[in-house]
Amino acid sequence: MLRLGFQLLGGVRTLQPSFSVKIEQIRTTYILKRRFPAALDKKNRAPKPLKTKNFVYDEVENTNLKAEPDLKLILTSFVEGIGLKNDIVSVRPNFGRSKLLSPGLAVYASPENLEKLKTELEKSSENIQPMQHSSRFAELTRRDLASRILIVLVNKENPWTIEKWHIRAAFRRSGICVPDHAIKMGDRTISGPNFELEKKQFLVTVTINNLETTPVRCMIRHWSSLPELRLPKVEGYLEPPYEPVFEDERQIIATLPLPPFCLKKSVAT
Amino acid sequence: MSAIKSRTTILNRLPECYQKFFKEWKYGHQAAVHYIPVEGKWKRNSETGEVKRIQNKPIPLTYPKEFDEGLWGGEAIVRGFEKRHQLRRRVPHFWFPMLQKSVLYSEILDKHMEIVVTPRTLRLVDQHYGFDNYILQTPPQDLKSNLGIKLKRTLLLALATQDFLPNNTAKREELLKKYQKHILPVEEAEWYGLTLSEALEKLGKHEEVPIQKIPLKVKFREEFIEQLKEKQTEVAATSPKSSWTDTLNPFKFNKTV
Repeated sequence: MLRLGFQLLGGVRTLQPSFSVKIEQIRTTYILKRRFPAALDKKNRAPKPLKTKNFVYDEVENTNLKAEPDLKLILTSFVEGIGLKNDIVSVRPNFGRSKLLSPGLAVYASPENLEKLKTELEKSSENIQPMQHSSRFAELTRRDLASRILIVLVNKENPWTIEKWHIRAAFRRSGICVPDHAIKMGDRTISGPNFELEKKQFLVTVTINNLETTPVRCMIRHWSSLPELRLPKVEGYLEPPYEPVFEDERQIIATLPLPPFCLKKSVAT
Repeated sequence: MSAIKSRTTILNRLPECYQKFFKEWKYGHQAAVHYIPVEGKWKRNSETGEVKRIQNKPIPLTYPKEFDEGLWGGEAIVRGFEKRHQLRRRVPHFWFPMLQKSVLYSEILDKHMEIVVTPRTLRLVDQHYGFDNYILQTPPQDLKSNLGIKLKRTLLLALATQDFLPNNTAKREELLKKYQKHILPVEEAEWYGLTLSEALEKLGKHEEVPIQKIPLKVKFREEFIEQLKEKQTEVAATSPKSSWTDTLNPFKFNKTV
């Protein structure tokens, strides 16, 4: 094929292949079939040698183009986003081999292992241990909430005191449904309208599945329903430094992870 | 078969367990990977009613030197032709396996190994529920490569001598129970998985008799001393009292003698 390219170039020897040359190497496994089957051997004689035409093959199937079936695994420890300990999960084979089996987070769901798991579960059901994770996604949700900055819109004209339903509405505005019993407010009251509190942050505690808890940063923003009364737009108001409403919360607010868009910016710079 | 015949003289000197392994490895029937074998012995033509014998001739494979450094799961290079059109000449074509580096974990050796494999190997490992099971359950002619054979040898030796996982006795006993089917006597495991040249080397060491080479002068001197001692004792036994005539030597002054 390369030679063909050179001929098209007029015999000029260049290292760059011409556009007509198609260099592709698809390396896969094939199941083949002889187009001209070999002659039958005689009984009790040496087998007949193959002829050249017996080497003409037709492709029957290419197994590598087929999708592999999922792998069934038993998790030996909690894996974020995949499952709890002792869960039987089915995952894509390459993911399962490299990310679960190789580091020892899972074993194959072979009949022996399944039986072993059964006996283990029977044993452990007698002495119940406290759950460490409520679900496979709880840890991810917790981390996501911790890195968020919740914007609590409060009225610019009418007096208000921050209550649970403010927080619930703020969560709903950012696409998260949080019931009232999962929100825990601080003891101190925050009331306004007070422009000193603008862009300042306070903490609320959110509980996921009655188990995992995380503090969430809430930022106060004054808002008016009348467009002409609204405060002017500020560029990058979600970026650090963050100012707390209560001075004792400053350290926790600083230690919580930055929102993803801030991390991306810091990497780019 | 002719290949076996030419080597019978060498092979026959080796122990039977090695002969069995070697014949399996080199001349055993390999699993059909690149073709679909037709089942049954006979087939009747539905139109003519003619009965013909079914013959599954395996597709000849080519093994490059890289083959011995990986686990290709029975795959290899197929060299042949493609006939793309009825009226065109056939074109040479090679079908290559898709090779990739992958990390495989052995329970018995407690090691992660980076090995060149094919997707088929990975699938086989999954089907056997683990790398050790795959290596131990697969016959040598399907592992074929030197690396596969050596891995099987190390696993079998570890199981036979029971010296793996020295720090974790509980795990070792669990694994010994799991792989108890594959436990061989130590002598057999030591012969398993050797190449022919290695086996002959081992045989040479086995048959070698240490030869003690003593210089002839030392040997003769010792013999001579013994003879003298015997003479002394004889003389002492036969004639305790020697007469003065014995001391005379008539040839003493004869210089010609």
